[in-house]
Amino acid sequence: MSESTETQEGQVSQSEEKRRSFLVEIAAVVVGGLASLGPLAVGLYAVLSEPFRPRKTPGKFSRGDGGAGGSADEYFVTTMDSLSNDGMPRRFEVIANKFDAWNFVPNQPIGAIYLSKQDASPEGEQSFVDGDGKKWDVVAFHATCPHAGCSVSFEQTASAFLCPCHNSSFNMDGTKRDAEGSHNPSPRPLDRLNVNGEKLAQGEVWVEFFDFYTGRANKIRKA
Amino acid sequence: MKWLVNWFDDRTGVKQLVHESLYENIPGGARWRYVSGSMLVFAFVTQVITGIFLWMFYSAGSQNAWASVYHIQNVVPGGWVLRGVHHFMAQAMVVLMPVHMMQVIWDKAYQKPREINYWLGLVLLLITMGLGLTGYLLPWDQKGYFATKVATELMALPPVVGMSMQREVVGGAEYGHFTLTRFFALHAGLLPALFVGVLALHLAMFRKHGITAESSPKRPDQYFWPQQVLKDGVACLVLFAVVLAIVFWRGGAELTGPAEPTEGYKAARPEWYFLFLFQALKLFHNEFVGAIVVPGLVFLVLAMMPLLARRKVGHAFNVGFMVVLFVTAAVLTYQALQQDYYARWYPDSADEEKIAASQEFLGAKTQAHHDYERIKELIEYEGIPLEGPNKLLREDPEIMGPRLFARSCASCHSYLDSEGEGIPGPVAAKPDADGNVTPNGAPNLYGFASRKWIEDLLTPDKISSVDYFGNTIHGQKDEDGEYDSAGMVAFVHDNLADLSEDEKKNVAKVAAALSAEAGLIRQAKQDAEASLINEGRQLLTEEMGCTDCHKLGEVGDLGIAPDLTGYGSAKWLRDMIKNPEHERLYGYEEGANDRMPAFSTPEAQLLTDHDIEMLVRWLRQDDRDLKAKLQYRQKAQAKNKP
Repeated sequence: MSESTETQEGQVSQSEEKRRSFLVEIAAVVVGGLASLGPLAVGLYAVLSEPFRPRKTPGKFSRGDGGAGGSADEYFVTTMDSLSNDGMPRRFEVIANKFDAWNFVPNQPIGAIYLSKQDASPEGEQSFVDGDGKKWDVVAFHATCPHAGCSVSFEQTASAFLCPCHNSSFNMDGTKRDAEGSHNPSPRPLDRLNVNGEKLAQGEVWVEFFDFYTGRANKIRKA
Repeated sequence: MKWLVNWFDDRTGVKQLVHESLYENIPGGARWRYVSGSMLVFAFVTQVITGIFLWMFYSAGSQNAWASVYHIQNVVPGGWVLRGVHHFMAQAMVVLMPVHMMQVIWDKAYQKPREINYWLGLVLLLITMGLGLTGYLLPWDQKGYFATKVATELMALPPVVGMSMQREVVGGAEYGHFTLTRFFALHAGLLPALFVGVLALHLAMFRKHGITAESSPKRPDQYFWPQQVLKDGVACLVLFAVVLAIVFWRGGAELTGPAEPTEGYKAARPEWYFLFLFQALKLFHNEFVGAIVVPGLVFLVLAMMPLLARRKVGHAFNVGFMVVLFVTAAVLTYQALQQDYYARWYPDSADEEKIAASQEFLGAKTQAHHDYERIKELIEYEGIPLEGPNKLLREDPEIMGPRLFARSCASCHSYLDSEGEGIPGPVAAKPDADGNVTPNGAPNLYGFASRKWIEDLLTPDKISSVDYFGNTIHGQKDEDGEYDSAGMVAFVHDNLADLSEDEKKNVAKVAAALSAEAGLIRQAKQDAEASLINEGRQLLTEEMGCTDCHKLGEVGDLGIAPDLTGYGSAKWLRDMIKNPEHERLYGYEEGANDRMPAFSTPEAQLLTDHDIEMLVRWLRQDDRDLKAKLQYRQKAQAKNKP
């Protein structure tokens, strides 16, 4: 009896030992894993979250009054007197505060747009009235090609916006241009930007400027 | 000696290690065709070594990156060779990898039991492409900046994760310091470390399965050492020699001007081995399909190859697929090059659109080359400031002038030298149904206010040509076929035609005197000839009667024609650009100013003061020859000293 009990006890302790050693294995994997994940987590948190960190304008340069009075992304570009009456698009730089990692640089070119002056549509309420009583609107396009993000340029001889990278081209109204013999790979027309009508009536061109994702059929704003 | 080796071996087991690595059996003996793998390892090691040395000079960051690479390229002794070897060895790697891969497939070395090793090879291929992509951006030059920008734009295309992924890679919403620090960490840290890890597995597995060859009675087996090692060594040495030869032949790796984010770059192209992907983008309507889905599927097929090869037909398919892939890539690369160099390859082609697109590319390349040469001059003249190289660009009239001119002036004015090179103005307007022409041009401003420019102005057939007033209201004839009798064109036609030799000399003297008003730096020597200038000035105010209409200094009155006092000087030009209707200029009479807008008035600023300064100095060519400018300044300073 006592012998068999002993054997039984021996068996119990053997399986007990197996169980214990299994627990130790699990613990070793978990603890070792945690230890090696630690440094990785510390690094990943910093690196992955940084690009999404909100940018804080230094106090000295913050626009307390909101500047344009409208959206924070609205920038003064030029005055109506600077645009010619023939409707030809002209390239302008958008000047704003620029963040670059640890640097903050006020009043830097942050992007380029094309502006053209056009006859105001009859229902256009907020248009600019010039000295001769003529009503004008302003059309603004982002100068970035919606295909792959190159910079388009307006070519007077072709009366079109041409992209130097993959042969995209656009008419003066921003729509895709179908030139014979060449394929236009752009998924959408040029990105039109909002012009502040209230300011326009006062002779100033304020444009709501931000970048869009390229290569998509729809316009999605880059946050 | 032997004792020392034994002592060391007892403690490390090094003998066995060396033995194992050297005495690997090669069935059928050493062969030249086994060298591709060793060459790739050698190429990678070269990249690590040259890369670490480059690292000792490189600084990531948007103000520093270009400057530090410029320093490596132009100042560090032998720096251009170091960078050149790194640049071209990378390309050698990209060339050798597909060769190695094709060999593996051809020899069926990707089949059971070597599937996993083949996949490891594919991973190495991907890492290499990643190294190429990240390295291209690091110099932060125009070429690398804009080509990489396109690549990272594409990164946002995959659904759900794309946009966040792009932001992570770029290090924020826009390109900047953090794009460089991230790309550099990937290029010099993460990717090489991964490469080393995967390469170790690749080699270990290669050793486990051995070379895919069979012994034959004709060719006895050999050990890796020394026959194969010698062959590998020779191949690597040849590779290095070829790369070095290319470095010297090309004068090192190319560096273009520093990145100018808002300026754009019309010749932005990826490195040549990515051109087929670039070209493929032009073919697809959907970017996502062209940039992600199709390359992804191709890669999937590549990864499936060992599984497909379980059947005989599968192997044949694989070989065929590889051939088709290479041919397609070659054709696409050729197409991309053909479109870019169309104007050079087919100068007589009638396809205007293609010629125009190609000329734009070639023009942008030439311009970038000029800009780079100019920046070199600027750096030698004043060094690179703390703010970075872009400050030099923004404050240099020779770089900013033509850009501003093309943007704001070339819709009327041209700027063409005697060879017709430069910035063209508008195409002259055609007469309407009634034969009336509405002028749409303005004078050619190349060499404005120089002696030659003024002499030509005073020549009848030139003043009424498109280079002067031919395409303006001043150069139009009335119904009777006469020029406006009160105008300059009529004056020149009436009084300066068919001159005798002496009279011609007098005109030249007048031109010299008027040109001296400009105080052009490049004419300083000639303008110092006081007797000639005084003589010309006397002619101008007396015999020639210029001051009957114009004012010059104290002589003459305003109100009939523009003031010639300080004509062509920086101040005169500045005033003219700011507001041509100033009473001293073309404001003397209603309608005298033909279409020229006021570029800077309190009401409207089409150009900033800085822009105007750049244009003025460029038109006067003040900064073209920096050495002459320096001498001129030093002389002026010496004169001012008591």
